[in-house]
Amino acid sequence: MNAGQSVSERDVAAFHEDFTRLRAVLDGVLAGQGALVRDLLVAVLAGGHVLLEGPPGLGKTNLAKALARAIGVDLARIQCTPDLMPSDITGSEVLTGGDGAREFEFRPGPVFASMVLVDEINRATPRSQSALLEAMQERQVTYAGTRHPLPNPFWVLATQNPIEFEGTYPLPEAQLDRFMTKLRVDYPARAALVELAARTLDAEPADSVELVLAPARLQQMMAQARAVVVSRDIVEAAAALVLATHPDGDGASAVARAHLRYGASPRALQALLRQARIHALADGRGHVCRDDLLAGALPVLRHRVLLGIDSELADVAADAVLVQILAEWTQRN
Amino acid sequence: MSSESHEPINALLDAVRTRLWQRRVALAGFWGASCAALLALLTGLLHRLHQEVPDAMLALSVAIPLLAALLWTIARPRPSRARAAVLGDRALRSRGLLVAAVDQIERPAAQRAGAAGVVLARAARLAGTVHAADVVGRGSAWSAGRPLLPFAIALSAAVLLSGPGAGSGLPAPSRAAAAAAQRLPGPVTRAQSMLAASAPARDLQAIVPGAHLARPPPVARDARAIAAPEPMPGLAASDRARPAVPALPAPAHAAGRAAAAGTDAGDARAADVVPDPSRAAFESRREVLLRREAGYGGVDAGSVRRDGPASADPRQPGDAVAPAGGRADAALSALSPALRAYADRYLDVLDQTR
Repeated sequence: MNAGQSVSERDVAAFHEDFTRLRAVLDGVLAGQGALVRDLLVAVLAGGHVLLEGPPGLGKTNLAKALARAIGVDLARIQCTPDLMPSDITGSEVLTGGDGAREFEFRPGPVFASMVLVDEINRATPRSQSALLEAMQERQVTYAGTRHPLPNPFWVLATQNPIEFEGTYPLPEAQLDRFMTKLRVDYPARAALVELAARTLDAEPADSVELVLAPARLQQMMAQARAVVVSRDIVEAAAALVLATHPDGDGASAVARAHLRYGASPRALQALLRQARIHALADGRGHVCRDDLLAGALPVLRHRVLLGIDSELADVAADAVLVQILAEWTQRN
Repeated sequence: MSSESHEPINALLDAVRTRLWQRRVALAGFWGASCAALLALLTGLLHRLHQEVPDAMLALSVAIPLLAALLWTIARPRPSRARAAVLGDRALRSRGLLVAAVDQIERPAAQRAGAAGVVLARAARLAGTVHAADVVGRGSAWSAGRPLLPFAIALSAAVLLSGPGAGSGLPAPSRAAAAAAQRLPGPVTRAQSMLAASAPARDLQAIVPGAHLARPPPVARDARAIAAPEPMPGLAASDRARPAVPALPAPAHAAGRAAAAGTDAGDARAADVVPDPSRAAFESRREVLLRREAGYGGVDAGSVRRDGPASADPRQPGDAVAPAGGRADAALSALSPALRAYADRYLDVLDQTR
């Protein structure tokens, strides 16, 4: 909404073209996961962190590696275990030098990469998970009173397994809220599996991904997204959508009152609008429409709403509740 | 972005707002005229079936809905540009382009987004290729003409139902019942009213005690009866104008009074003392009713008894009335067939309303 860099018709077309090219490359790595790839790219271009949830063996790590190679950023991987320490993530000071000139020097941890893949994040202890909070929100690390800024752009791609819960530490709400989107990685269909087998039988597609977008171009695209027109009408519609998830609010939907305990945060509103801008540009438009809000609503909201106790016991899925809320919202707006 | 580039957008939105305004006026006219038609019909029906409604009330029933619709249209503000833009986006499937363009046009140039130029240029291009009719829809002639139909119904209803011949189409019994009820003294039952409506004025007293024979101006039926009265020997000249009522035999008390007056029962003066046939009929009916109530069973000539099981009464249909009632039975047998028919109906109604 703010006046940023001026965007021309050609810029919009170029964004659309680059986005389509990048998506095609990643679709080649992960067959049958077109929606996942699109949502991942949208979140990355919107500058948000992504939580990938899915059973093991579906290619989450490969996707992250392919993405980092395609956009030319360095990727660091943190394998979370219960004995992972915060300093293993942020880095720590080590004593360097000798002969009377010894001093503490800060050795950055893996979080100082542009793209950090936090594998099985729910296996880390809450203490270690909290080490990511400051990095994810403020894009900096404070160690021994000294602030260390993280590279720009900076993304955290975290994965978690929804099946195993033994020895895991579910992410606290504050941590979950810092992820712009939560993407589900579902089992591919039969045809996709066959395609996957053909592609990966003798080679690893992620290792052969070439640079598609230079980091400078990626930054330019992200800046262009900030110049997309979001009319007041759209902002109000997005706010109405967020409020519809609040069971106690004025604009709460009947489904939210019945099934939800807490609704989405204001951070969800920001995420909705930022993602909507990317959706608009990817569609070749310089303005956001309601369809763009709708396209990014589920990934943005599904981890930000808290089901009621009864609904959890009844095994009600947050997605099912949100789909009904979105249907109501679509009729109202 | 020069203001000229906004011109097609502004022109389209203004045209859409005008169309919306016209549609709103047409819609208000439609509803106003519909309500006016409905009220006119109701008022007309009230006027025709129940009671007379003043012409002013009929005029108000038509005028008030139209006036309310007019005021509603005037009081509401003209459709906004944002509303026109939303409608335009829906109609043109432009996915929020016009809304975004209007949003940017209304901002100061310094506060516009970076892509405002793209949006405004696209919106201007779109606006230049479409017409307001593409947004609001064609058929404005139908929209404008829509109120005419109910309005025509309202006018025709008002003319048909409240015109000078409004009462001519009423069912005769209802009118007669209303007229007869006005002639009856004091409160009357529904049964009395119905029977009185069917009976000629001369039989009113037989139906409702105390009903006088002062009539309203004669209707055509009574006029025919006056024009061709049945010959009734022994009636005074002043009574010749009365409709034909069979003369009753002089009752015993009348003959006694005549004898006390020193005259013979067969004297012409005694013969001139004609008992009031209506009163006699009423008294006879009262006797019949009293007997029926007491369980004796009333009979009508040529009919079966109405109360009690048929086996309890040894008489057969068509038997003559037993002379147990004396004077009253004599009076009953002297009733004219027409009056008996009315009495039968009266008994029917009485049975139904009991």
